Amino acid sequence: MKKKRISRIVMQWLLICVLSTFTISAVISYIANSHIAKKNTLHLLSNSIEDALDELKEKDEKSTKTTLDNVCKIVEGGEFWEHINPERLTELCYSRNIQEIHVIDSSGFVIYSSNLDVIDYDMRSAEQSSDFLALLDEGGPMYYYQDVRQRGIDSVKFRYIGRRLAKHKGFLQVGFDEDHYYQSVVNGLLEGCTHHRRIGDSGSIYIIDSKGSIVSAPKFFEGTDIKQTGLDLNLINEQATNTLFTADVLGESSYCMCTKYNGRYTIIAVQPISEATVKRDTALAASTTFVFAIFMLLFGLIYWLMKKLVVRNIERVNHSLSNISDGNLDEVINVRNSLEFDSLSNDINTTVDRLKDFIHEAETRLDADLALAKAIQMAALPNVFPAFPERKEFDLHACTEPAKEVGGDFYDFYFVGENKIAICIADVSGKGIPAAMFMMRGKSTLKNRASSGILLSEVFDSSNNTLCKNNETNTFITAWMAVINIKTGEMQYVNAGHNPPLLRHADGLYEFIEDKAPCLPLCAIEGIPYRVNTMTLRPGDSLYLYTDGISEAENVQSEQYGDKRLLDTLNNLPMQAVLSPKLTCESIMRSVKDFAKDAEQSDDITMLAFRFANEH
Amino acid sequence: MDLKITQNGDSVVGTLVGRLDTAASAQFTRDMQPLMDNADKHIILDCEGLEFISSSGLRIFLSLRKESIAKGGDITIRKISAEVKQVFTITGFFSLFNFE
Repeated sequence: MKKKRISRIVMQWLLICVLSTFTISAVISYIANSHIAKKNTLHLLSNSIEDALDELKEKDEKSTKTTLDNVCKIVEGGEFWEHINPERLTELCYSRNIQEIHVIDSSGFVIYSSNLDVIDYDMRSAEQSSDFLALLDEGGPMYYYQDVRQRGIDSVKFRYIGRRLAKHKGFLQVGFDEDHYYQSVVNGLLEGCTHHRRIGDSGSIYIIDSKGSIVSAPKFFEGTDIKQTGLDLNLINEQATNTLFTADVLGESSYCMCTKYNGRYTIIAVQPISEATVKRDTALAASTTFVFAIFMLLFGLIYWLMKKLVVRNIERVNHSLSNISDGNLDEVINVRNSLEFDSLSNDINTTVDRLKDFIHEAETRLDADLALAKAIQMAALPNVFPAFPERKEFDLHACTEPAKEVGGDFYDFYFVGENKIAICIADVSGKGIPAAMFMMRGKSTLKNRASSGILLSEVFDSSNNTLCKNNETNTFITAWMAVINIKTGEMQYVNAGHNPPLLRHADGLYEFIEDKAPCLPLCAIEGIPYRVNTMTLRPGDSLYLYTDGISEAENVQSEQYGDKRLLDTLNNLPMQAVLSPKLTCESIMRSVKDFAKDAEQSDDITMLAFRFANEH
Repeated sequence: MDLKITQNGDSVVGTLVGRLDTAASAQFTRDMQPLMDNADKHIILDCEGLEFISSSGLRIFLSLRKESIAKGGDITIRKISAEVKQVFTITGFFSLFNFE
């Protein structure tokens, strides 16, 4: 699975949190603002209706008062009052477009009237009429108006209004019958009453009668049915006073409110929802933008802080840790801009310091062990030269230089009979401790077999089979071993996969002892036979045995020392060095080192030089 | 030292590029594991890019050969350079493998 960066994970979660918080706050804001918008509309509509009602009431009172005042003035006019009679009052009724005029005396009896039936009527005889008696009270009202009611005398619906007489005791009462009152008086009031009224920009007020016919409305609608606007009369009649309901008006979904007026009429206030909520939408857009900006700012800030305080620090620590992993234990972590990273830096530095101490201890111990191992390994190789000072028939010298403290190369020489010396050089595959341990085993195995005096081929066959046992690592040993009769110069040798040695006849040059079909290294394949070759050394002949640490020695340009250079160097040795195995070894070692210079020695270097003496 | 292992019909081909010295041999031993696992098949080692082989490298070849013999497969070494071939010759390893 692909791993995400911390900053990315935090960013994602932060974004999710911010967006969800933002959405939730937007939804809450929307709901709250919708609620407020509805409440505002409720107030607006009820205020509009109230205003209209106030205006109607004012107009009504004004016209009622005017009517009463005018009638009173005429009735109490000297000539009229002196000759007052029903006919004259009836005439006045016609001219004033009213139905009845009564004059009531101070004792509450109708003394004059346009209607003969009510003359002498006692105002106290019905509740409806007795209400007017307040006009007779001392300190009582000047005017008294009544809504349409069933009148006391015959239960016919009438509207009565009254005022005290100006010059006489008693009061005057003017009556309108119901239909007349509504058709002429109220319609007159209502007409045009809503023309100048607007609710908000596009809301309106409609006044309809009980049949749904529009009495007053903005232009074009007066006289038509309320259905034309889309409102339904039944729906209107179902609504309680001053409650908000929604309906489609003029094709637009709107908030509506209605109130009954004067029994027969309904005032309807309408405002399109779109207008009611325009404030909400604007407020919401503004707050949303603001909140969004704040959130984005916070988001950026948190991201930046996290990047600065956490991610960069982790990167710095990681960089240092990777330096440490690469082996630079002197790297010090110094991220100190927060308590946590300060502590982490200290912990890592302490750990690395302790690690260094441990490594140093381990190295010291290992160095001591390796030094000891080297001493043991070196002690296992014959290293006293001249090795056989009493034997004048030959001279030999050998040396080894492991690439590490211990190595897998070895040389060996020993007598395997009175006049037979065995010389051997070998190379264990690999280097270091594993090769060194295998080398010790290989060397002693070979020596054991060879010293027992068996045939050289058997030495190898038997050693190979022994070494092949339990060789899980497939380590093998290339070896070249010769047994030389130092009296006759007869030499038997086996090459088990080793670099061919060089032979120099007394009067000639060094040449490789070519082997067309060398045997396999020891320990490679169990049970294979090893072939013995024979040749005869002549007095003055020299042998030079070496391991591939010489031919494959490299300089800094990765060039190899090579067989040819070895051959040339040997053949250009001064005669003094040719005659001395010791000088031969030293010269070649110096030549290889001069060649490799500063390049690290990559493989063990081992050589053995043997010279068959001139004189016997 | 790089080793690329591909399947070519019934054969498994290992292409070696670089120097197979002691330093490279530990990693190479691990890289070789798929070939060891397929030692029952015909393994072809393409050594055209093999510049150098040390005794540690030969040891790995030897391991592969033993595994191959044990499992009944066989190994062919292809396009070996003269220098590397000489190492095989000197050490007698030449007789252990088929060369093309």
